[in-house]
Amino acid sequence: MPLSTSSSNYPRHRAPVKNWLFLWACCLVTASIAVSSVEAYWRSHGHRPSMVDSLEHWAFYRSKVSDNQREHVVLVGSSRIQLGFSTDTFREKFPRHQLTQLAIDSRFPIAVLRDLANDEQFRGIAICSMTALGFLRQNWEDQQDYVEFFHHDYMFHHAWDGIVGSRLKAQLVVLSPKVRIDRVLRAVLTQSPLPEPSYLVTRADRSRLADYSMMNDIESHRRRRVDNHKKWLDNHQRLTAQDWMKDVAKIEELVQRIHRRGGQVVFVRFPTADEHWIVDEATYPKADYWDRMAAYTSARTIHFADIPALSRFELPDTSHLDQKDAPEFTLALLNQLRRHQVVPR
Amino acid sequence: MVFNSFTFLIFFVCVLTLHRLPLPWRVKKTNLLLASYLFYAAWNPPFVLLLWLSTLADWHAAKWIAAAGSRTARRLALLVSLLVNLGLLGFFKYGDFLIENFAALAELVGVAYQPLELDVILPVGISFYTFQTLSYSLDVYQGKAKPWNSFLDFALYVTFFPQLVAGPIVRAVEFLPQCVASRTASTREFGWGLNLLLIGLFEKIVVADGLLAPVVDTVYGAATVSSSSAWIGTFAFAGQIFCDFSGYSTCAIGVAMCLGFGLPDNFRYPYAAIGFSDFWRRWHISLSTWLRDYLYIALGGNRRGAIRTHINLMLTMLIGGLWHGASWTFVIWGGLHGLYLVAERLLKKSIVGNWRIWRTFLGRLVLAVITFLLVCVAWAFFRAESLSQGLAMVELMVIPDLSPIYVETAGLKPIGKWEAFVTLATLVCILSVHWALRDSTLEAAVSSMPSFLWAVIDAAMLTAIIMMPGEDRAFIYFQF
Repeated sequence: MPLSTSSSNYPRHRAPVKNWLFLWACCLVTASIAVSSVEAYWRSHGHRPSMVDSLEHWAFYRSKVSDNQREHVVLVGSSRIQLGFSTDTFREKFPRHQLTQLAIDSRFPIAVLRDLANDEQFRGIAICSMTALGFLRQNWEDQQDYVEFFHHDYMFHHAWDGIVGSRLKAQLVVLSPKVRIDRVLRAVLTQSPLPEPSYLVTRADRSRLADYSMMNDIESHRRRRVDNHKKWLDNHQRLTAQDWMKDVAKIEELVQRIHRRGGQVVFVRFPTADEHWIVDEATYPKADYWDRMAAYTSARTIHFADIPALSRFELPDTSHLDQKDAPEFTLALLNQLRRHQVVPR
Repeated sequence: MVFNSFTFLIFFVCVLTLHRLPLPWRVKKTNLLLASYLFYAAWNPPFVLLLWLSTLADWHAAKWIAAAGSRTARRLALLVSLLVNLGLLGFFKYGDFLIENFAALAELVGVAYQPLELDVILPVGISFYTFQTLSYSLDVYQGKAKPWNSFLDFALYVTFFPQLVAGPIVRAVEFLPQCVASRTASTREFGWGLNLLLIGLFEKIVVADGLLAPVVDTVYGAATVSSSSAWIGTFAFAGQIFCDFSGYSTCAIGVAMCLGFGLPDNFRYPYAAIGFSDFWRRWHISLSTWLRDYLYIALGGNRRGAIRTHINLMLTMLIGGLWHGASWTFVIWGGLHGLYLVAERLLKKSIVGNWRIWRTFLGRLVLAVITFLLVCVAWAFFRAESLSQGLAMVELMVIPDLSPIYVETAGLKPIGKWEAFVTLATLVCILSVHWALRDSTLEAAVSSMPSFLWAVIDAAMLTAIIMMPGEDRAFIYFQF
């Protein structure tokens, strides 16, 4: 083969003559000093490392669930179970149980429960944080894009990225988008305030911590949350208890599918407080909705309002537990799960 | 699997470790081949079959061409290669486009035709590896090369993971000789290879994705924009597409170099080009030379008179545009570049082309600025989601409305003075580097720099990469 390779075109042969070992050592030392200094600065100003949740990250944990293990506890829901269920407390109490956090912030969880019901390899315990709104058919597809991603796009390299990425991001503040270098530069150059530490932290296992003491104006935050909740309810048609139970009946099919394989489903109503709870009761009263569902379903049900040990916590924003209360709340919830024989005594 | 991921880091360390072990060269090449299949399978494992099909087709086609006793037999063998590779491209890349346009044409002449929706998934990198394997068969057909004698080498040539999905499109005559004897990177090559990987990642993560992509997405995702925003958004895209694509090529060259292989340059500071023929000698060089060698020259090149030369140029650029994607926006982008090239030829031959001013520094600078601005006009079509958006953008860019930069868009953060500043500052940096290095190379610039200074620059790039976390974006050229 009359091949000729013009070496002048090939960077391989043009590699600059340098002491590359020295150069790379200098580079790594300088970069390490720079990153460590910035990390120390942000930490000294109250910033905490936090993951950024993503489809890939969720799918990585979803892939762990199909393991045929009856001792696998899967948390399904949205922000309340992410903030209110202390995964550390659970692991401390049940070191032999697997625990996977599949809750997705700000979305109703039936799509994920349906996915678990359809997964023949799932035989574990699904603890679902639910409200009356979560059972409504119109909200069933809220988390479906995560499920779709897992089944159609998730590949082995996402798992690797999940392992390495989540571990690193959960350790270093500098990997948080909030303190991205361009945002900080912008603040410096335009003489705007530097990024404030967030009261929320997402950990590598997808559980979250909320430190409401870091919030400057908790009152307006509470007001905004309740207003948004009211607005959401105003924009959606309210279902009669009879119609609502039709949706519950469909979900019961999912519950039974999991039960038939030896798995378990627990519906937990996490606490809401003050005006938030008043609005909840005004639109979907517990007695007419939740209690009817509890009497009908084969799933175990736990409503915070029925259990003094679960309803005694202060909810700074009316809807979520503070990180200081989450372990105690979790202990109380675990006692209830023991009472229902979902987890061993 | 993309270069800017933790997965690739782990994968690369494993591949490098295997490659540095004292194993026979044949085993090392087999390892590289298997790693390349794994790399490709990370997107969609069944599509590895397409790679095998393309590999087998051209391996055999080249042998048949060489063994053929008659011209007809040689042509038939070449036809096999063309049918397989262009057939794969046609089905996977242009199937839906052709059917949609056929339906539109049928509707135009009053025939109601409801086409089947193919919903074909585009295999990543298909345009790159089909062109690469085709070049092998075409070289053998044209007598520029003989069929290679090792199938392992050939399969590695088609599949070599650093450049598999987004180029550079490597010719067999450039790659296969490197497979003959054992290759391991020297410390110098390894150090520079890693450095190229770092530079490529900086271009991609910090400049393309971190600084420019949000501005582009805001402007091109907006319902309406002002003229100034259209220019800012398009300038941002000019920077984004360069840093994204050149970033990938630089990573690919660096990764290959760490393994002891050389890949050809794909970019030579294109935004310092003076004129469009110069631009195409600097932008996506491996594609432009492919199109020149196998299409433009095959059409007759400039050997059949001025008019035919212009037609050949237009055809080449239109096909080059279509290579990028099954959309009329890419065809128009290619067509515009064809027109630019034709206009440049005509101007060069006219009295204007002989003006002495074009040989002065100022004249050359003016020509470079004009070239860049016209390239940006074409980029508007390249980036546009639709033909109508492309036309609207160009209209806004050409006919200024003098309204402010600020853009209001539903669900998107508006761009403001800061984003405009970041875009223009980044662009000025890119253009300055291109202008400063237009007649040189990065290697020469680094060689002339004290090691410590370059180490500090490397450290700054590494720090910026670490401190610029954000959503992972795929390389733009993966879709082509």
